[in-house]
Amino acid sequence: MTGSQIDSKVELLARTLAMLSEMVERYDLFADQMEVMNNPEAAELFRWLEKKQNSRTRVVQELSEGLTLPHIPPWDYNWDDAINTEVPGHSSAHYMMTPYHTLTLAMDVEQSAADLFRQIEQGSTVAEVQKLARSFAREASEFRDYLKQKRAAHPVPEAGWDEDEDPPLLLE
Amino acid sequence: METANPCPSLKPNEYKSGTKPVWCPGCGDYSVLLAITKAMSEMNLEPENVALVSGIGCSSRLPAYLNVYGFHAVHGRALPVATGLKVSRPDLTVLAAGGDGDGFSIGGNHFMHACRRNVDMTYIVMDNQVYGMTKGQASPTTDPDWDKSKLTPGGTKINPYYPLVIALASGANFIARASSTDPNGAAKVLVDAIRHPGFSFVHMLSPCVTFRPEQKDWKKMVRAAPVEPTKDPAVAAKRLMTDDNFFLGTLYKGDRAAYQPELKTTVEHLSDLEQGFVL
Repeated sequence: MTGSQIDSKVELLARTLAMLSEMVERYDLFADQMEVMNNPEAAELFRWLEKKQNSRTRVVQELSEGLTLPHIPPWDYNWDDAINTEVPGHSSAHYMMTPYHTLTLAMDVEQSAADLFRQIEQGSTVAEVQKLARSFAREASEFRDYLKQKRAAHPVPEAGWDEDEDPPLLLE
Repeated sequence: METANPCPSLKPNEYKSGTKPVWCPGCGDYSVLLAITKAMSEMNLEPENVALVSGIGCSSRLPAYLNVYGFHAVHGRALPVATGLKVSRPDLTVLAAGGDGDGFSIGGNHFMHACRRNVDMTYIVMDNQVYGMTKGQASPTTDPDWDKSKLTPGGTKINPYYPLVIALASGANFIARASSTDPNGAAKVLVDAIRHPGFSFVHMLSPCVTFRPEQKDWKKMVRAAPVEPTKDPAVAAKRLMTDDNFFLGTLYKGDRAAYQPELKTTVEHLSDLEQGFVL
């Protein structure tokens, strides 16, 4: 299954919801980790990103009202290894990461999502799917630009930002 | 997918207790927790019908983070507790979990006999080849030349324990390997393991990024085994001869009937029980 071979609206909506669900889970996990590691700035940003993805989820759910979507089990989520970076990996976060890093991570996610939806648009033969994928791609691109603006308010981390003289080997 | 549920009634997050894990940042166990919740969601398991028993160690914290019944047992003793629970409550879905030290060293003998006994439950061992909770000592699965612990200068020089071989030789009815680097793939393996009757063993690679930072590379090293599961132990054994510890997927699905003793109520009243303790 590749992301560029979607020819029905219900499949596109179902896969988009699966992707959003993964994003929400991942940002929630990162926020939890940052809270436990006493990095409130990164935690707050991850919570904010989680809320944003939840808002998107509601929009896609509204678009899906009245439709019967196929269930996508987690192991079928991987659309295509080459473009499966739209969700950050579980080890993408660092406990000393700065807001700059957090926003960069989220920007990469949005860029990857935009690329994926553009591929779907180009690969589909159904006008309705193309239109929807185009709008999802545009929205991801716009959000990426917004994150970039937001990141500009934070300094670029200096070299050695992740050096910890008292590393938290374990919390007990 | 034949194992997909058409409509999970609970989302993976709804199987979490709300207690935030205190594993190190980047620890693979976060993903194992996620994989377990995804598997339970896909199977539509009711939380009150599931019990997870653990031993001692970082990974054995799992029961605290789930809203199913949980028991944080004695070191190495997750399996006897889980066995007792399953035979007395066969209606429950019973999972046991722990790390490589807990499962293969302190509880090594229990592992062997749980495989042999073949009670219908699933044992998940999160293997990071180190004792993490006690700050990084060699475990049974550690490579012989790992020399980062002061307790084993120059390495252990001992051949590592090979869990899949022991499981197969001891009679486990389902044997698989998954990786925390792919929680969605791990969820599928867990669904298959829980559904398969008898004792299911899932060898879960779960990097310790604190004491074994080189294990971050596991993500690039793991890969799907290019074979389908077999029910022939001889075929499975042959495959293990060329296994490099990074092949993922289900190795063996046996057809041995699960062990479930007939339950007889021998105690009608509490006083009957008390009589048994009278000297």
